[in-house]
Formats: sequence, structure tokens, C-alpha cells
Amino acid sequence: MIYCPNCGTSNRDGSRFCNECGTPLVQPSSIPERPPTVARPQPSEAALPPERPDEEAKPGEGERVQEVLEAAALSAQEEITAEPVEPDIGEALPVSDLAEPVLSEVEGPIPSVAPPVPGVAEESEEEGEGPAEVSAEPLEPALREEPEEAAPVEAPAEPEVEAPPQEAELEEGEPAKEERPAPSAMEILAGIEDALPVAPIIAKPHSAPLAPPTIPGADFESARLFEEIVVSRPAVEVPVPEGRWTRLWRWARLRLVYLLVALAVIAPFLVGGIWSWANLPVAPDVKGVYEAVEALPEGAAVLVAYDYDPATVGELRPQALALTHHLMARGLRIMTLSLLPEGPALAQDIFQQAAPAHPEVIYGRNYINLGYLAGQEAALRAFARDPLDAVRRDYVTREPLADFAALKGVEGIEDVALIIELAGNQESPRRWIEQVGSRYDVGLVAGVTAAAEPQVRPYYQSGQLGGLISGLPGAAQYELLIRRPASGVASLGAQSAAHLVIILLALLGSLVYWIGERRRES
Amino acid sequence: VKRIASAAITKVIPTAIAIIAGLLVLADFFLENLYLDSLGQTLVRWTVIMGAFALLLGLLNILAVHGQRIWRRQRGWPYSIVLLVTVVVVLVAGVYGPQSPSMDWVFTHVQHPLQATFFSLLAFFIASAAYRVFRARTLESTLLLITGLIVLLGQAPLSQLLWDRLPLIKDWILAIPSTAGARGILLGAALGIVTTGLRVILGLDRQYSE
Repeated sequence: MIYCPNCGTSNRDGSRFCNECGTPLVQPSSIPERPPTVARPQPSEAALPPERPDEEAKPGEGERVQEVLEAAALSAQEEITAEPVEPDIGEALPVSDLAEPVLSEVEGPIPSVAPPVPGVAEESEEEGEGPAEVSAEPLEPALREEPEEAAPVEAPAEPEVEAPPQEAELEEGEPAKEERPAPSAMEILAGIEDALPVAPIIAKPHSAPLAPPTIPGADFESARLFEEIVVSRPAVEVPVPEGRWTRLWRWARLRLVYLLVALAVIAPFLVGGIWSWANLPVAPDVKGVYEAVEALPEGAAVLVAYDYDPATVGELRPQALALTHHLMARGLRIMTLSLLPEGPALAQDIFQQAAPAHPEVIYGRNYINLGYLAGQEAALRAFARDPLDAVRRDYVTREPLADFAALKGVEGIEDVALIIELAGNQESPRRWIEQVGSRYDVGLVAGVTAAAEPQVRPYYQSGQLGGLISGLPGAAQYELLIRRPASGVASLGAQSAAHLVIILLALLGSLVYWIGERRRES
Repeated sequence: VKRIASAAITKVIPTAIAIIAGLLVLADFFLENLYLDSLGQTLVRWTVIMGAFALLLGLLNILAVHGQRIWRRQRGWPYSIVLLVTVVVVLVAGVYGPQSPSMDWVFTHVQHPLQATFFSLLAFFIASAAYRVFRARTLESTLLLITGLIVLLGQAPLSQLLWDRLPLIKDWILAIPSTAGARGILLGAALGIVTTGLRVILGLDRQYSE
């Protein structure tokens, strides 16, 4: 069992992250003791310039380069072991070393970030040229020279960045420069510098870490963030044994949340209408749908598109039922079509629910189910041009569509007086608007889930949709408009209670977080 | 000659077909012409038929993939057996049409409850997330929290009883800032679609032949 260092939750053995809060789980025993001689060369390797494909290494040079690298690594190890090294990664990997490759990639060569060349920097500084600023570019030419005759490095007229502390130390004149192995490595490298750009690795200072460069601007903030991510490590604490009640609370907390939500949803249905919805205001967009239906002459053809599946019936079934009641009561001819395979069965369910309340309506004469049409945009375009060609038979009886009175006079989409799109996502209304609404002179309204509403509302605002019913509240408003309260109105209590519980949980979560933060600070 | 013929078959001819078909359907969208109408309608009808065949291909692909998984005893192969059995049962149930009693039973008693239940579980996940994640850690997250709570409360009719102006604030958030963002996304997506269409018509995108 692994206990989370952050929240204390017990997790299974072998877990990498906490199941409760997601904190990475690192067992104390699994943290390897980092040998102090390993960390330093990594940033140098990262700073290697890309290989040059146009220059092939000569035979035998590979072995020599390998020898040089080994000599440099050995000397680096000696230097590092000579100084006390903290086991902390943040100390072992200096900021400048880590940020160097990133900064150089982002902004090109940054003078202060490039490491000073041992022997070269000291000499130039001894000559009183001020703080040396050695960029990566003059490094190789300098190395090509004999070590004793290192070329003086040109210092810029206006130094942009302060010299790092290490350079300040060097400026004072250290007699230990002959002890460094770099010059001997240079001799070995003579003549093959271009085979592999190993000079920066050898010349890299291995002693004191460089101070972070003071670079203004947002790029430095990015580098700082990068450093934070790389250097910081999760705090590993020895888990404190928890009491029984604490463990019980942790176990029960999530289950209590689920229980609250379940009660909030179920209780209003059991209690009944504890709130009065008589004064529920009707939104203008819902009224737009109602008025579009009211404006149709009796006997006009209306197409209802069932573009939702059982996942969203909670919100869209009340809408569909209310609309179908309204259409049947107005004596309009209804035909349904679906771009989803599940749609026709849902439409048939609505017909079976609504038709008994309107004895005068008959399948095939007053309403018809055209079934599923595959092909999305292409299918819509084909249907809009010639509905009876795109769909040949009805969904229920599989009879040719030409035999049904419900489709009499419908030869094109413009013969349909109104299209009602019921969608569980935002893509379906967009398809209808693009392929049908924008090309043909036909009214278009929509009923969508509350989640899809933000993406569909722009079409309502632009007038491409004549009305919009959104979610369960929209369905309830429509039920009130047609004076037939049903499942939409009945579900409002459960929805309100569930929303309230979620709001309270969010506030409680924030409160617990604030209290925890205060305690940590104090 | 063989190389030229191969290039023509794999690249030139598919590209030419894509460009010509795309231009014809595009012209049909903008121009009123009897011949173009007829041609465009034919091409669109072909697309619908190919879409139906794509469903069939998808089914065959699923059968092949899961058949291989069972044959090789790959990880989770018992679930593949369940999937294949389900496919066979639904196919048999649908032999007599989508409105047959057997198909109706499968839809009403299996598919419908399963899909509705899975979606309903979102309520519990959202409640759990609201408690554990939806926290005011920074200024931005505090703003998000406040906005989310206003919209959440405003969506519920209960807000009428608490404060009658709450639904108005919710409507404003949805109608102005939210719709502004949504409109930006829609416009960006539309421009992307136009660009992609142009690339196909100009023969710059040739995924079908590569």
C-alpha cells in the first residue's frame, strides 16, 4: 500500500499516481541515490550542436574523439567529486545549464549563456577588457589556435548582461588554470575539430554553477518555467499512519458526493411538485419556435429531423414530445428523418406516445417516418433536392413513399413549410443550415441540448434559425406554451436540485482548499 | 512505361477525378444550370451510396480486427468475443428489418438503456469534479468558477425563486461573451474547411492517392 504524500490516500502497490489527487507517487526506497559525478555532463550533451551531414568523419578520428571525450569526462568527474555536491537535483543541475539549450533555441545565441572558454576568458580578462562575453560561435575558431596562443575574444562595446559570478571569480586571476585538462584535450583535437563538435563539451566549466542570466522579456519567463518543471521534484514524505476515522472519511467522501447527487435527482420526483412552475418565464428563442409552428397553415408539411441518440433523450425527448403534440394539434403533416441510425426508433417512440392523444391522426396520412439516411452532408443535399429520390421507402411499413398521403405535393425541400432540427450535438444544426437553410427558402428552427447550445446560438442570433429550444428548461417552457405540462416540467425539480448540489459541492471544495492553503502557510 | 503507367494509375487519375468532381459540385452549388444540376445530383447520390458501403466496410474491419485478436489471444480477447457475439445477435435480429419485433427489443431493452445510463453517469462525475477540481486557486480559476456557478444556477428554474435577475445574467453570459467565443471558433473552422476544400480541388491534398 502506498500513501499519497499530498493527501494521504492509500493507493495500491505499484501505483504511479494518486487515485485521489493525481500526485505522482514515488516511494522513498525507489529513489536512487544519484551519484554526484553523473549529473554534470548532461546539460553539456544537450548543448551539442547538430551534426554536420556534409562533412564525413575520417577513419580513425572516431576513436580519437572517443578518447578525448573520455578524458574530458574523467577530468569533469575529478572536479565534481572534489567539491561537495548536494543530493538535491535542483542544486546539482544549475539553472543556467538547464536553461541554456532552451534559450539558445528560442532566441538564437545568447552571449551570457554560452560558457566561457577556460584559458581564453582568463587571458582576455587579465588584459583588462572588462567582463568577458564569449559566444558559442567564436569558440571553435579559438580552439583551432594553439592553446598557448589563444585568440583574444572580442568583447562587445556595450555589455548587455552582467558577467556571471564564475566569470567574476576568474577575473580575479586563478592560478589553477593549468590544472584543467581542457588544453591537453585541445591538442588531441587538433585537426579534427570539425569531425565532431566536441569543443563546447570539453570547454564547459565544471566547477561553480553559472548564475541565471538576466534576460528581460517573456522568453525568460518561459525559461524560468521550464527550469521549475525540470528542477523541482515532488516532495516525498513518510506517510503518517492515519486514524480509523480519517480513513473512513476518505473512503466515504466520494460516496457521499454520489449519494447526494442521487438523492437530489430522485427526491423531487418522489415528493412531487414542491415548486410552482406556473410563473416560469418563456424565453424569446423558445417562443420563436412556437410562433413558427403557429404561423403554418393547416395541412402544411413539416420535417422533423431526429439527430440525437438515446444518450441525450433526457433533454430532447420532452422537446420532441411537446413539438409533436403541437404539430398534431395544429393539423400539420409530419415527416421525420434522421442522420443517425438510432434516430428512426426514437421518432417512432415519440409518435407512439403522442398519437393516442390525437385520435384523428393516422400513420401515412398525417405523419410518416422516413427512417435513417446515411451520408451526412451529401445525404442532406441529395434529400433537399429530391426527397422521394433520396428516400424510397418508409421506416415502418417499407412501402414506396409515393403511396403515402403525408408526402403529397412534396417534391423538393421547398415544399416543406418548416424544418425542426432536434440535435444532440452542434454539428447537425450546422449541416442543416449549410446544406439546406442557406440554399433553399425554407424555415428552420432547432431544439438542442444545453451543452450544444453555445455553439448553436450564433445561428439563432444571425437569423439562420427562427427559434431555439435549449435543454430541459426549454422543453418545459414549450410544454407550458402549448398548455400540456409533461416530463419537461416534471423534471425541472430534479434538475434544479442537482444543480444546487453541484454548486454547493464546488463551493465546499474551494472552501476546503482555502482552509488547507491557510494551514500550510501558517 | 511501366513507371509512367503506375504513376498515372496511382496519382494522376485519382487526382484528376477528385479535381473534376470537386469543381463540378462546387459549380453546381453556385450556378443554376440544368446539366450541372443533374451532374451534381448524380455525384452526390454516389457519395451517399459510398457512405453506406463505408458502414459495411467498417463492420468488416471490426470483425477482422477482433477476430485476429481472439486468434492471437491478445490482451482483452474475451471482450472481443463479447463484441463478435453482439454483432451476430444484432445482425440476426435485424434480418427482418429495423422495425421487426426482435430489433425493436434489442433497441428498447439493450441499446437505449445502456446509452442513456452511460450519459447519465456524467452527473456523478461532474459533481465529483466540482468538489475536487473546480476550485478558486488563481484569479482566472476564480472567474471561471463564478461564471460557471452563475450559468449553472441560471439554467435551473430554481434561480427564479432565489433572485429574479439571475436568469438575466445567465442569458447575458450565454448571449454575449459565450456566443462571441463560439462565433470565433465557428468562423475559424469555416475558414479551415474552405482552405481544405481548395487544397483538394487544386490537387495539393492528395490523401486518396498517397
